[in-house]
Amino acid sequence: MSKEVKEYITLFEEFFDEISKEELSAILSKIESRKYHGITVSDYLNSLDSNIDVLKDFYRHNEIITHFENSEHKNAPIPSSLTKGVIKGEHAQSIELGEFSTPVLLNDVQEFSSAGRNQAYYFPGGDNYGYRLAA
Amino acid sequence: MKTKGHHTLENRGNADRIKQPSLSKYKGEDDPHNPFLGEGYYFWDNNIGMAHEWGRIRYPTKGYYIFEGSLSLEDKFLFDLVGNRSDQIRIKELFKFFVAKTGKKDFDLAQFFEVLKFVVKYNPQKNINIFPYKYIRAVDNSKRTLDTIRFNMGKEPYTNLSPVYLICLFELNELALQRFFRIYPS
Repeated sequence: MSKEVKEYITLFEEFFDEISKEELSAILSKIESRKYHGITVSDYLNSLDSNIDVLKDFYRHNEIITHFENSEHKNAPIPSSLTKGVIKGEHAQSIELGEFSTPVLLNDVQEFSSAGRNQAYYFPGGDNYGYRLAA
Repeated sequence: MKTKGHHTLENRGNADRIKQPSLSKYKGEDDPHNPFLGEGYYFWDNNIGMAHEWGRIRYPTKGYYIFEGSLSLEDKFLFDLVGNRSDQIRIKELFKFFVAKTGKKDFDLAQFFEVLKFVVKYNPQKNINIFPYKYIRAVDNSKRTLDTIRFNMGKEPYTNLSPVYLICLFELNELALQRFFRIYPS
């Protein structure tokens, strides 16, 4: 660790010495409540079921991948409207039903699949991204 | 550092009355557009394509405006997660320390920046200034706008000529944002 970083860590340490546990807990809870990954997979999928346009939101797409990593969300219901096809987009500019040629299965998503439910794919790289929820 | 920043706003029929960028705030847990780098004024760093994409995604019904800002960012106030390895290393070490102290390993970067801002403001007399910055620049690697070119023919290594950089100003001032004007629709 560089001298400069050590100095910053020392300053950070001073802050933790200064603030009470109660005050620290309160401010962290306040900041934590603002988290933008706050939506659950269940809520997300339900919102997809009612409004598929939400898929145009690239960032929500990323969030769902994030949330598959959380074991508590692995039993999220898959909406029937999404179990029959593939959804893809290019830079989130266009969303259409279609097929991807070279799906890549992420490890965390594979774990979801191995739970005996549905499959999800992620398509990184180039202009291709998207996911698939197939029965 | 001088650069042009692109800023997208919803078309509310008020283009001529807009004199400054919009402040991005947290709008609640379910809002997918919460700011990536904490609260502030956001620009795409010289990226008109991303400004249009953001507008098309976020304002599909009403349409959008794109404004351009002439940004002049002082190095000493710029926390640069794009081009400054020291800043990248520092945020990692500070975050590691924060997690060890609090157990909050699930905090994201936006939340951690809010923690750092709070630390700076917590006790001005103590001057615990672990984050003496006025703006942040970061790259959004989730945007797969890979515009690649290989360094050498026949070799795998390549670079991306169209990375997506975000710039967040914590507050507005005429030194950092010297001009702000609409470029779309022209």
